[in-house]
Amino acid sequence: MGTPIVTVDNVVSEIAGHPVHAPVSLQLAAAQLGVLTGGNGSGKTSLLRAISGELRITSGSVRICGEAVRFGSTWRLTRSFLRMIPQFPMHPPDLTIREYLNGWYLCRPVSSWDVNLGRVTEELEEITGHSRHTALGTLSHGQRRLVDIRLSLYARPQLLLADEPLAGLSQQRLDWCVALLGEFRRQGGTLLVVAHTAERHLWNADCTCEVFPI
Amino acid sequence: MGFVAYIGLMLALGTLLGLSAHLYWQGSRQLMPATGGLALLAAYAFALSFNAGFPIVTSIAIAVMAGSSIGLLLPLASHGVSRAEFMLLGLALVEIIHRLAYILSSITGGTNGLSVKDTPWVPPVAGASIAAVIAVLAVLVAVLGWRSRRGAALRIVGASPRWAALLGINIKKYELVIGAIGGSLAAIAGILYALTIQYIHPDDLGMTMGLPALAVGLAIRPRHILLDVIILTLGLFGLRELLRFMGTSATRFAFHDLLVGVIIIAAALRLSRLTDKEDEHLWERL
Repeated sequence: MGTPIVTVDNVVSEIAGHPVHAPVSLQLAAAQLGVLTGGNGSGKTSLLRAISGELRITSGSVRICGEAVRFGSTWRLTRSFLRMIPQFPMHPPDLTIREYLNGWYLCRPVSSWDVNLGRVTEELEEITGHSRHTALGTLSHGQRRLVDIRLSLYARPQLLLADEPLAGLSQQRLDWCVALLGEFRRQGGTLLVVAHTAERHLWNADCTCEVFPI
Repeated sequence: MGFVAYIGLMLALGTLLGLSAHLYWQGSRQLMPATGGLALLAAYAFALSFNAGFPIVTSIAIAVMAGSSIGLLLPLASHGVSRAEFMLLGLALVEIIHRLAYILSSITGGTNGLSVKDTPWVPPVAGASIAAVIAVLAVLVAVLGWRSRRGAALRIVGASPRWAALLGINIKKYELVIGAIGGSLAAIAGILYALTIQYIHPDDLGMTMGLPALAVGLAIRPRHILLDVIILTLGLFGLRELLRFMGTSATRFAFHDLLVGVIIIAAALRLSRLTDKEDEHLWERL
């Protein structure tokens, strides 16, 4: 295994001071795929959020590209080498696609400075089937998810964390996303996804880690 | 000062304070009733330093610094509190500034307020014109600002802090920017008031201006900012001053206050529809 992109060492994440799951350890190198599985309420999403610095950690440590992850450092990690696709899209509903892209473009990481905003806008119009002046709140869950996935990959992160990225997608779009994520890995990107046990067959994982509640 | 010049000044103050409240609302989803209090603070800071013999530019700088620093400290000091708690803190701040203004007035020998030394090159009517020009400039900057990339980022921060962090936006930086600009806008309104009226009565600024400004700030739609600012400031600030010139009547002012209350309630209801409940819930649990 090459230099690890993400190292999770005996991590227990917490919500409001309460530990959520049993300790979890995993390590992924460049271009590898990791899958977090477990039943409902086992703490998969919490673990993913803790890895990105969104939640506090009761014990253990997380390192991404050699840098220790601290609570609240999500925006800084995102600026350099991380992207996260949350379980539920949380776009500001009254912002139009264009306005949202403007905000995204302003904060894009250095690795994607050559991205052409006009081309991204056109592609999102094609993916969603709506004009750039459409409010995000009027898009369906699936359409917003497609926006998230596409924008995350445009940012060319070294590590992509995705919480059930294929949920709510039609078969055609599901195939498109799997191909897109496959291409991301072929280019050296590391992918860590949350998937229910039933969905595991969709992912040909290098590392599978089951999360158990406390 | 003539009727038209006075109405013009009030509309300009309404625009500046309304934009300040709007900035707090859009950038941090906070209800900011203290803009009138910040204006009062800046007006007093300007008057005291100008009367003490400081040059006018220095006095303006002191007043802007006073307004912006308090405007900056309020969101910082109240980090993590709920929207209702922030509103209460804002109301308390206005009351403190209002009381301090009364105490200062008695110290400096004013009857109830504070007189400002004559500024020969800024007669009252010219002061109202300056206020109007500054208000127009502020609206233009706001229109351009909301359409810019930083404006979009600021609105993302206000709508969903968690999502903003996932996009790589430094939320704390934007909170500081909102506080500094919002406080400065309110301070400029206070300075213009002091320059033009040349007598600051604590009751004329403070909550009297702060609540209508909050109503304007909540009701402005970012994509229609130009039209909304004109309609709302005319409707709320123009209406009140018109009522005042027509002779004070408790019923007439009650109608105005009722209108302000209805706008604030309508905006609060609209917010609860727009906000992603789950996101807010998760964020507040952190």
